[in-house]
Amino acid sequence: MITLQSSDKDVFEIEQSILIQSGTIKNMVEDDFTFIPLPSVDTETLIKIIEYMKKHADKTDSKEKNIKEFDKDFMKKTLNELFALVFAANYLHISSLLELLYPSIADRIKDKITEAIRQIFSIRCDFTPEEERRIIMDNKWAHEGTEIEGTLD
Amino acid sequence: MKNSTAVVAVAAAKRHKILQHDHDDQQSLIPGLPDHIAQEFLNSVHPFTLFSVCHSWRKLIHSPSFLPYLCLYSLLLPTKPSKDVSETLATFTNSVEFACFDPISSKWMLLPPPPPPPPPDPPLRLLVKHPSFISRNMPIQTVSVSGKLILLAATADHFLPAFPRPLIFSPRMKSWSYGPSLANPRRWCAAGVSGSMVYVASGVGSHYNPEVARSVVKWDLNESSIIGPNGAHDCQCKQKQCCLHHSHPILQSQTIFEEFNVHPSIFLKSSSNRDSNYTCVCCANNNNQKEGKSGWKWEEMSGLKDGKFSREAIEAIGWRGKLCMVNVKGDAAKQGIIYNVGSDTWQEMPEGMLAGWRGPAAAMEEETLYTVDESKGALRRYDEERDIWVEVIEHEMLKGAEYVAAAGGRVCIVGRGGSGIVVVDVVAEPPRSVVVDTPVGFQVLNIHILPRMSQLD
Repeated sequence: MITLQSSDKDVFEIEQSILIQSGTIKNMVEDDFTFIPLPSVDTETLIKIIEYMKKHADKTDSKEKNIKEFDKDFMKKTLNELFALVFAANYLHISSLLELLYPSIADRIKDKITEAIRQIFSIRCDFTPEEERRIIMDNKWAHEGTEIEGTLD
Repeated sequence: MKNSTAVVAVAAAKRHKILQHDHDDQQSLIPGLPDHIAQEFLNSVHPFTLFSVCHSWRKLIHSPSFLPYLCLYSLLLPTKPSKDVSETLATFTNSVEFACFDPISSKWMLLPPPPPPPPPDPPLRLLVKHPSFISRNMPIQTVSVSGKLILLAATADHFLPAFPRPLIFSPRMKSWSYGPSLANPRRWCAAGVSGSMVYVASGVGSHYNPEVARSVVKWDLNESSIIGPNGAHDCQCKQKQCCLHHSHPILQSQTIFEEFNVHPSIFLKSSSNRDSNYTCVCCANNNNQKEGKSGWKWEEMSGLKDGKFSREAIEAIGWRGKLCMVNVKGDAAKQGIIYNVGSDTWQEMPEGMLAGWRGPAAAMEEETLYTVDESKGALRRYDEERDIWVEVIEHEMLKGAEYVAAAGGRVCIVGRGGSGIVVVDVVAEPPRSVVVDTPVGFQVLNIHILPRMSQLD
């Protein structure tokens, strides 16, 4: 059993066989560490990560449909929660989770107007006014007929 | 013995990259995420979005790891003849321009000009309009195969065939090259593609020759001593999942592109599985230079019974392991024939297919056959089981249509007179259409759908 400690100092005891899906944890386990603090991952996110790894630990054929259903539901979270998962999955090197998160998040933002996307990612717009005008014109044409969400979530 | 947490923390810091905060002047792709992670995420994002958010996101569209989206490629002919008062023959060989329409930036751009052909071939000059043929353009025949555009047949000065060897444009390398020499170069022929193989049948060279009119030759782009079947090759990067059979690891998450069907925009999705032309990033630069220099050749196949398919430029449509063609354009009475690639045999075209073939045709992923009824202005799809054509959409601009291409869930049709391109989203329910304006002062001579050109600095 391996002990993980979140940034909020909560501890979780999990079987090694489940945790090796995380490249980071696997390396430390191979170096005989049994207590692993994770200062970059808060409790809420760590619970979700553990839930994901538990489900994906047993990848037999019969469970595959189950896992797909689980993954679909697992992505039904707020954007903020999904971002927290991206940071954690990146830090923990869980590539299967990242590959699940990227398209889901991309899908969520695909119908948002550009300004909403910039706000979500804290990006400064560096286009000239002329370039911006052109983009707004093209965007209108591209989004004709779809609903545009101005919300952040 | 318990390890002290201090030791653990140091070990962790040494061994793993913890989130770094960029303090560069240029903002990082996604503040708070290391750029290589941000880039992996952004590979899944729609290029329209990348284009619109900021400059650093926009640049990613052209990064090697970003799946190239599809663009329209056309030959353009200036509509106004040269203002030269002494209208000699020379003024009729208007420079045909090779152009590409990028749906993300909504811009037409010119391809780099082709190099002169290797000696002893004469310099390239294409004759399209001639005083003897006032109402018609002389055909320039092109095919797209393995993500490349290939010019196969056209007329040059003195009514000689313009292409002793095919001229190839690769969007990925943004460069031109030449293919294997034809024993009998053509001014026009029946040209088509099945998989990675180009077929040239029948047609006419410098003059009519009954043997040539019945001949069929094939060129397999994948046959070369460097590249094996299906493009498998020893990858430089030695990654496990690499190259044409399998997707590059990053491309696994590109399945998002399969779902881009709600945008009524003309954005064309690249299909990641069938893309036998996409090689992994690490080999792209190395392989293409050597590609095909040795091993490319034209092979003789089973010929036609007669020369009935030699009168006009014909498009043989690759569809489900066959090549389908008719011998007269448009609405007139015609004959149809089907070539079975696997068995190298010619067969009759089913009655329904022939009866409904009333204009240009194309196949989407060589799976679904489309045709435009040029007199009704209707796009139709072939139903093999019932041997009938099913209507997809009707549009005024489709009347008189001459060229059609289909890929990435879109069927693109060049309107009458080569002006304006109608892009039909056949995935949407009901199908939607959008018109792309063609550059003013030019006539579109054909259309192909291929990956965007790489932006080589």
